[in-house]
Amino acid sequence: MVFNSTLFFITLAPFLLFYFSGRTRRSAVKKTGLLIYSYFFYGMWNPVFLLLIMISTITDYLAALGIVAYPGRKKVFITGSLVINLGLLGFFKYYNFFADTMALLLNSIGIEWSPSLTKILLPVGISFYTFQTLSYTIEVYRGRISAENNLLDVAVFVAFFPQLVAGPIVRASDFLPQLVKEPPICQNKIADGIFFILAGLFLKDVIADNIAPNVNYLFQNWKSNAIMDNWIAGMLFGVQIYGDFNGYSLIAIGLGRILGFDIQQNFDAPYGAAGFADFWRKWHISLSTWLRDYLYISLGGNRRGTARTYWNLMITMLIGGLWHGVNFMFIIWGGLHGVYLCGERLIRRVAHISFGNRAVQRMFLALGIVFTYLTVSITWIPFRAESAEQGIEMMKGLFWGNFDFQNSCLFDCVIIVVVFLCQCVSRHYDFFVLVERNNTLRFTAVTVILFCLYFFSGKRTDFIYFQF
Amino acid sequence: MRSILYAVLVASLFMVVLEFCYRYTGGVPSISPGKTHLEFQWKMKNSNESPLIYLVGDSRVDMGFGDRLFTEKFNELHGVKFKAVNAGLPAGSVSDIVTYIVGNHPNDKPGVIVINFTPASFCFFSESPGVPIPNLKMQDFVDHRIKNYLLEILYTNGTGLRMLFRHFQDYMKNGYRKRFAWYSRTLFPEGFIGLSGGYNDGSKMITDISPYQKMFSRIRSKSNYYMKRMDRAYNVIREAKNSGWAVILIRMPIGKKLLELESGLPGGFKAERVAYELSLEYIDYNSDPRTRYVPRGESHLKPAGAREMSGILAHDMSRLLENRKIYSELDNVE
Repeated sequence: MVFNSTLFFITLAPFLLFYFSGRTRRSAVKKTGLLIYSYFFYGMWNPVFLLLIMISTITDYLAALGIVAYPGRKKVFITGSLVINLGLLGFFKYYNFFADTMALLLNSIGIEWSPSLTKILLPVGISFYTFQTLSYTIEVYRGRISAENNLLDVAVFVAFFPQLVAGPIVRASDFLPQLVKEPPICQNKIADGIFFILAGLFLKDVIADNIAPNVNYLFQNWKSNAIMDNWIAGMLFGVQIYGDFNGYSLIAIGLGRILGFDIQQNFDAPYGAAGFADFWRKWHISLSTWLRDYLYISLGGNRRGTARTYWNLMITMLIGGLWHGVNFMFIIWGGLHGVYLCGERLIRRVAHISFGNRAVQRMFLALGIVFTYLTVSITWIPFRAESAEQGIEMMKGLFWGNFDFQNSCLFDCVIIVVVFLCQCVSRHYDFFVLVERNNTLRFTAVTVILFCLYFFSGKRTDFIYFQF
Repeated sequence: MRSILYAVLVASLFMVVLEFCYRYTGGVPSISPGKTHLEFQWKMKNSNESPLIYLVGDSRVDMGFGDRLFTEKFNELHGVKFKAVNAGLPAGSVSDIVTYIVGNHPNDKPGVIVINFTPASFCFFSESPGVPIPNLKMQDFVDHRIKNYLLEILYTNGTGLRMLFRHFQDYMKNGYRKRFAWYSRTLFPEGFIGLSGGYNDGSKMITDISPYQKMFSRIRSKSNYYMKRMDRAYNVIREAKNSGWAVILIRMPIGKKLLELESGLPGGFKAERVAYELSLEYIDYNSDPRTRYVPRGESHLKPAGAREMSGILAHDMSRLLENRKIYSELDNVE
């Protein structure tokens, strides 16, 4: 099920009535109800794939218990958990690619072979919940948390419907303790939650869905795009994916708040970032911190010398690209970000420049923000392109071709500039904190959002990150 | 929390006032006058049984053919379990609908396409099922239905400020304008759609063939152009036949005035010519005594007429099948 739908809110209403009836929200009955609703939510996509979630849940529940019960053999249990979870992810996500590549290679040397299985359907959210369950066993392995004896708690953690399908990827150390404590029903939290949901719907329905047709048009007519059209395409898609993904994350956070759970923010005005490391501290925070904590640091981080640091950065970003899918374009996307991060690190090491003059500092900061935004926008082109040829030609077309607007319009430019400026302002002012503290602002914001949702909702499109 | 509640109240009040102003100044709803693209595609997606019978056409099919009723009666009469699909679209183009069916048929085996002949659907109308919607889910369908229902209650929902601005601007300039609109759709369980329309001043819809007169007058004045569109339909039907589809042509019953009007068209725009050129089995229900008292308006069947017609079609298609005139591949299916 998707959040931006009437049917979802119709099914949510009776669940919330059940959830808020009675005094305790953390009783076994309530948690069971939450789990059933989560499974129902996921099962609306395809009920068969519920089995995969259950397999992941039981595997990691048993692995964590095994790690604690047999500390001498904990490597066996963590390996088992990694193999099963990553094996399932690898099979469903990458089987088609490897099967097609194998067939192509064998056919090219004259051996007729076709894959025995037909195309594998990708279960929605598998990349997200796999990483989530792995965080549980890894944290237990590292001794940061203890293993849960209660299977119900682990199952709720894995299948928690607000963030099951497209994140934020929640850490076990953050979420599991919340399942035990009994927070009071707090009107302020519920109000915050409602505001987050409305803000998320605004970003998705009003911003992302309305510019989706323009983005599709620019990418479909890529052969006739001029230089400015390709830049607009990259930046507009950047706005679309931000609105789409952050919209979903905000709705997930809002639902979590209403249910009494705190879920971390997934975006922090990323297009206002000054530098690439800063960008990755603000974009898809749950994934970037997961990769940092469980991959980059495990590889040695920056503790094994300069060359190894760059190597670790590149590997982490390439795997980040691969996480999105086995596609040459995602690898280019990840690789570009890796190059950016390495380049930035190198410049910081080599060029120790500081400015005493505050105005000069601010000017360079502004230039840095603009430069980061433009270079990140370049990476959105391979991310969105439907073929390697299209991606490469459009990237070439950013610097070579007709310097004109063939397919874009003024509206696209206005949207890009407005969103960019809002993100820059958000470096200093957290809009959600301001709204939390000021009832008049909250009133105004909710009125405007409702008005826009009623009059300006675009034609519904699937959340972009559902395909991962 | 209070600020949110107040905001909801204020926003709702504003929307109610705007809705009232819109209606007071002659605004009308914008509901689809029949099956929408999404509903069409959802119907097709959920019809992956074999074999299938598609009844293709414009709103005469959309409002005049009950596919569930047909399926029930047909399977009673005939041993093999067929499934019928109402593939009619308001202002539907036969070329586009047949092309869509042949290209997006969910089943591997071709089935039967029954085309209801109207001159407009062959050469004038251009409504198609649209681009295939990827990952169409039950939730999308239910939401779509809810949204369409809400459009009958909230005329301003989703209109956008630009359209509202133009409406009020027109009202300021020209005053209240009498407008016709469809006000509600009824989705009959038998599988056809009913529409109820009228004027914004409360006066009822007059059954009028003047739109057809204008349409046919245009066809006559630019007959070469519209003949090319007929040729396109011919080619599409030929391709469907070559791909293994069995195609039958029918003409559902219409009123006397419209019948007379259609008979005034040049020969190239007549059903008999289409049937002859494409070697199609053809049934004209206008000259069939069984349909003499089938309830109908001038151009469309009434709901009771749609039910009766579905039964008659079930009987006739079953007869054609038994005589093996249409579908030799069915020997393999049986």
